[in-house]
Amino acid sequence: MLFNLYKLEFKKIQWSILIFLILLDTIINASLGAMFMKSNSWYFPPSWSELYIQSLSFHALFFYPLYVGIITSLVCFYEHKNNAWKQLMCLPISKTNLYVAKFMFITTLLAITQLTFFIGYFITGWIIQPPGKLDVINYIIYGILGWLAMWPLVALQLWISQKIKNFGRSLLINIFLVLPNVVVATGFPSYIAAWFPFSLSYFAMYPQGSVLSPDFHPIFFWSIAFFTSILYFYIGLTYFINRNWN
Amino acid sequence: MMNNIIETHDLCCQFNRIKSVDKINIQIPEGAIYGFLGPNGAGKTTTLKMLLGLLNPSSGSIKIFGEKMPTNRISILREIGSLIESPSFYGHLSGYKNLKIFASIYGLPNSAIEDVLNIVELTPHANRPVKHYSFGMKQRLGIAIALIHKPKLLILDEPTNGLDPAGIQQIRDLIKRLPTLYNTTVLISSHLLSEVEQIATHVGIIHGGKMLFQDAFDVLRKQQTSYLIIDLEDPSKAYQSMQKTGWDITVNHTAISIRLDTPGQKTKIFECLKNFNIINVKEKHRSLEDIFLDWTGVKKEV
Ligand SMILES: Nc1ncnc2c1ncn2[C@@H]1O[C@H](COP(=O)(O)OP(=O)(O)OP(=O)(O)O)[C@@H](O)[C@H]1O
Ligand SMILES: [Mg+2]
Repeated sequence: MLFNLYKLEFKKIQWSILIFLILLDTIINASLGAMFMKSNSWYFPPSWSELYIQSLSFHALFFYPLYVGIITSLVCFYEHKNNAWKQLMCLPISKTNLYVAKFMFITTLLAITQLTFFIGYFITGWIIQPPGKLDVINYIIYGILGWLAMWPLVALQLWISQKIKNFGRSLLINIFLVLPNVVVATGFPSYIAAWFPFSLSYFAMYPQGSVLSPDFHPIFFWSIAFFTSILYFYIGLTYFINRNWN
Repeated sequence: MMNNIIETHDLCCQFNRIKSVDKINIQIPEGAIYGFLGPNGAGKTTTLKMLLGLLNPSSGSIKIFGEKMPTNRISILREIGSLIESPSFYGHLSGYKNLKIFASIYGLPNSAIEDVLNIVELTPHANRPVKHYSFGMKQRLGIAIALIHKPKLLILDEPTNGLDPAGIQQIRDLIKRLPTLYNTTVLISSHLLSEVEQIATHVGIIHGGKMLFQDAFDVLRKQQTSYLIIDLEDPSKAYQSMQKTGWDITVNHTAISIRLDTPGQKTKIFECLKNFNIINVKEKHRSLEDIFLDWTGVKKEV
């Protein structure tokens, strides 16, 4: 039943919007990465890892957390429009399964976004051929960690998105919340910033050991991430199960 | 003895301290077409939403198919088809794809989709996106969604809203056929007595959140009565003499009004009144509509 509901989400989503968003993120960040690597080449010699750091910043600080919000709103949007929640809730399906299916679907879309971002990075690198070695395994790990680091935000957004019916308003709120990320993620140590769920993928994806690396404490960081995921998911699910559908 | 498909006990629903539904006890026997009748804001939709588990009752209990709602929510909902207020679906998908989503949740084959499209006569429009449907077509699709799994209980909230006369007739015929077709019990809400009168076997009248009447429709029909209003020179004297002989009678300063149980009673009444000066005689029929309007406190304009 859970898998059935998960499959249904694929049928409902408007793929054209989603593909546009994913390509937008990939192309902008790959181009910015190439551009910044070139313009900063005087301070930071070009390399595969330099290209990664330059591409990553905008993706992890801005696009990826913003997309969590957009994708979550989009996944709830079809139910908000035309009041399809009401119809769905009259079906013999478990509310928990429905909620989990939505959560799984959102994380799936975010995995696709992350994968496409890395494909964009590899293709850009392949075109400009920066010096140095490409450590693919490392990047796969960054990709997965950056994706996992967004789970608390997914849980938070899914809680919020079932309340906000208007897609435009939800988009505005998200942009508004993502903007301080630049300050939070780059200015605070990870054990403080991790409480602000928009900032997590930046910490998880930024390679350690460079001059500009964020102040990162893995144990604290991942504990907070785990704890807040569970907390937001639990609150969101409880609300979802007990709420009225008008 | 027939089983009750739906039974509620002192069901209440409260929004911001205002009771929208107040101690409702619904009993719907199996195979009935139950007309849930009430003016705007009476609490019909709120009650139906509680039955379906969309709203949490503030107190009271619900049993459907003998099982407790919402404790056995999923197994109860498996046997219910519903359309509450305006129909809801995914506007960017075609009618067929919308039905496909519901069919796959119920685990039904594609033939079920085609069958139900035929029933509501949407087959020619099955592949158009629903957002391009007319209002009536959306309503039909909503009914199709409610019927796709041949439910044991169908709950429809003002289903003929916005349909043209032909569409209304068609839905009415369909609803009348359902009890024999799929052995479906139907609960249908309406603010029009005339609509309920044409299809319902049972009726519940709700007003201001309270149930005013609930029984077989024929019992309601028996409440219809005729009155003979007789203008007289001296109505109070006539009143006194008639009252002694056991008539159901009322009086004002120009006329008496006598309840008629059979038309044949008229001659007897005239016989009794032969010693009085009759000025005028009128017969007034108190129709179901009048009764409904009396009960729901909306006075008909004279
Ligand atoms: N979500 C809500 N919040 C506050 N009050 C509500 C809410 N939903 C319904 N009500 C109130 O409850 C009462 C009953 O509303 P309901 O929708 O059940 O009426 P109805 O019988 O379906 O009327 P109609 O024929 O207009 O559809 C109304 O007074 C309405 O204002
Ligand atoms: Mg209503």
